[in-house]
Amino acid sequence: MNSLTDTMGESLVDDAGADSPVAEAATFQGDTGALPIDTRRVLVQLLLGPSVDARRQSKLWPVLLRDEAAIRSRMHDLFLEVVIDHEQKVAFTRQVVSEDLDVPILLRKASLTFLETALLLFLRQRLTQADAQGERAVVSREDMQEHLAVFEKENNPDHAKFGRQVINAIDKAKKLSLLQSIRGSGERYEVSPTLKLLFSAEEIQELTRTYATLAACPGGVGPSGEPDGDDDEQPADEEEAQ
Amino acid sequence: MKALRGAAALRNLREQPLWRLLAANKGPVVIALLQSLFVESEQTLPSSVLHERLTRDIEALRAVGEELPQTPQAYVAEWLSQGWLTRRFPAGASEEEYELSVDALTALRFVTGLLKPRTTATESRLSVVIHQLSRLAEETNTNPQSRLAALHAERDRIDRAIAEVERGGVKALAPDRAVERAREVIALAQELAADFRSVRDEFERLNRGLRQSLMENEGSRGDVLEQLFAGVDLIGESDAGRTFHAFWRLLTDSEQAATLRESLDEVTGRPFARQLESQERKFLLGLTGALLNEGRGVHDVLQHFARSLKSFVQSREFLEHRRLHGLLKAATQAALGAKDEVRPNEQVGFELMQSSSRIRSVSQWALYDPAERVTDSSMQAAEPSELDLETVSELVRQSEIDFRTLKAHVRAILERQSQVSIAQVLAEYPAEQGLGSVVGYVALGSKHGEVTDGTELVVWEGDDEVQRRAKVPTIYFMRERYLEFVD
Repeated sequence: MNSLTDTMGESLVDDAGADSPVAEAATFQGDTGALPIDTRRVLVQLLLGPSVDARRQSKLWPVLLRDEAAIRSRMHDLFLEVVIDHEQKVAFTRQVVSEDLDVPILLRKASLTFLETALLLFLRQRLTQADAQGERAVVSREDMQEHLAVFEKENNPDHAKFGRQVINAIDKAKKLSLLQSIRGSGERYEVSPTLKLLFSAEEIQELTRTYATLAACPGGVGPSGEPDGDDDEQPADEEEAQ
Repeated sequence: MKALRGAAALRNLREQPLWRLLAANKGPVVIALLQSLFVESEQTLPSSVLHERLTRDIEALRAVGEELPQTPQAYVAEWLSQGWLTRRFPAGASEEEYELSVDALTALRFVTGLLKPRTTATESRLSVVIHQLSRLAEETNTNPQSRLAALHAERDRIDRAIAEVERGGVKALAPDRAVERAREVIALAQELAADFRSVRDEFERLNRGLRQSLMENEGSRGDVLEQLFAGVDLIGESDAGRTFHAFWRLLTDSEQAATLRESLDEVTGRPFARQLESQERKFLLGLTGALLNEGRGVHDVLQHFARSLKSFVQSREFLEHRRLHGLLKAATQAALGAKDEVRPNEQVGFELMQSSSRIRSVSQWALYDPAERVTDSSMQAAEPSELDLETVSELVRQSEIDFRTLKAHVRAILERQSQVSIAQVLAEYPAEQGLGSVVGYVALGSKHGEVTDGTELVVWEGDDEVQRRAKVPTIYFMRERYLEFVD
């Protein structure tokens, strides 16, 4: 399953590619925008997320670098920060943080289940390892399934259900664009380098505290999940139309 | 006790990829497949190409009754875990790439050598040994008198040779012996290429090991750098390392390199070279290029390795990695501690910030028009029905369609031509399951084919021998996606 944002990203690039420079000069009726059209495309791609990636969006990337100042400014207007990782050649937006200001939130937060957080840790670990060795981080579906298997409850009678939950967790990671399919390699994925910035040391520590609390008083943290029925459905917030 | 030690060492060797490949039950087939996959000049294959070639080869072998029960993917996975293939994902590449491991390369060459045995103790080999031996004797001799005597003897020999040419012209090496020597050169050059690869692998191992120890151990940076230089020396002084450096010096010496190229050109142009097999001639012609490529590969790794490790150590990046490594380990431990108290699908109150926004506007809402929902009671002439893709997938879910056979048909056609539409498939392979087959092809096509906007007419004959026709979306099965039709 391709993530929705991915395909939208691609189509956006295609549009940009199809337009000749002449067409790029054209605007729509009553246009009061001040930025060049290609810069606006970068802006929209950044908003759509999850990232502008030089490898996949080769046309947008140079525009982003060219008009970085203008793009930053426009994003600030929306209370968003543009993060550019020049080494990995990806850029994405982050919600600005301010103590004095009640910042309206544009970016979504994904609420994660226990298994999904465990997967998140695993992916982050892979990223650190790969980074340390100067390589790209690659995981296979099997790796993830194997790793998550240790999180099955002792004496769990319904293995099949646990297996489905594992698959759901992996699908969620794909949906959040944390995993990107590698062409021609079947069920193998590259772990998105953006995860480094989205899931920082502070957040890892926070997660550790969450686990400790859970271990101490079961079910006492945060909004408790739905009743333990058949739970193969994705959480409701993912079902909304774009 | 010598036998005892020898046996232990050999037993250990038998557990290594090289011997395991030679001794594998399926060894002959595996070796043949590996040989066919990596044709001479292509040492690195993107994964799609590897899988495509392997699928084709396996089909061919199965067709003649070879028992190969696993999928091509499963074989690749096995060969990777056996250490016969290596896989890497180079920066900037869109696909992972595969290579033969050094062990597999050596095994392949060994087997090839068995098939085409060189005449043992051939004259050229012997002369190489004699020549090397006398040079060794000369060069290790510390007595100036005898050294001088040797040099004089050499000069006499050369003088005699000059006189001979002046008297009776040149006497060329007999073609048979020339061919034999050319083969010696080819064998040597092939070994050289394998040496390069093992140097590169060594460096990569060292790089990984050092980075790992930087991350996991509390040593000081000094220790690591010391280790690093010690390691570099070890590699540099290994046989492979020395071969590489000597070669690299030779290549970067323009005079030497030019001599090498000229000699190759001359040799391949001589009449005797026609007795070489075309493969051998090709190898000789491409020798400098091939060696340069291999050498550049090693050199790039060396450079990259030195640069990246230096920045890794200097930027104190490894400290951050070490910290993260610890934090992640602690978090994973904590998660394991909580696993019995929490349901796998329970929201734990942890939120991950996403980097995509969701913008919604009332303008996206369309007005509800009750008229659209009013049941139309008028009767209309029944249009010939068009199966839309949803209906098709519904039908598929409800019926048992023999997809295996359908895929086989598509494959059979794609082996001959690059694309095919459903109508064309049906023209060649009549629908055995009637509508079921048609629906099956549409379902396959919507998943693995190129769906166009057009429609096409398909015809088939039902069990009742009545001709039927239907309009289906025009869908093309493409050869590029051949692999998707492999079960």
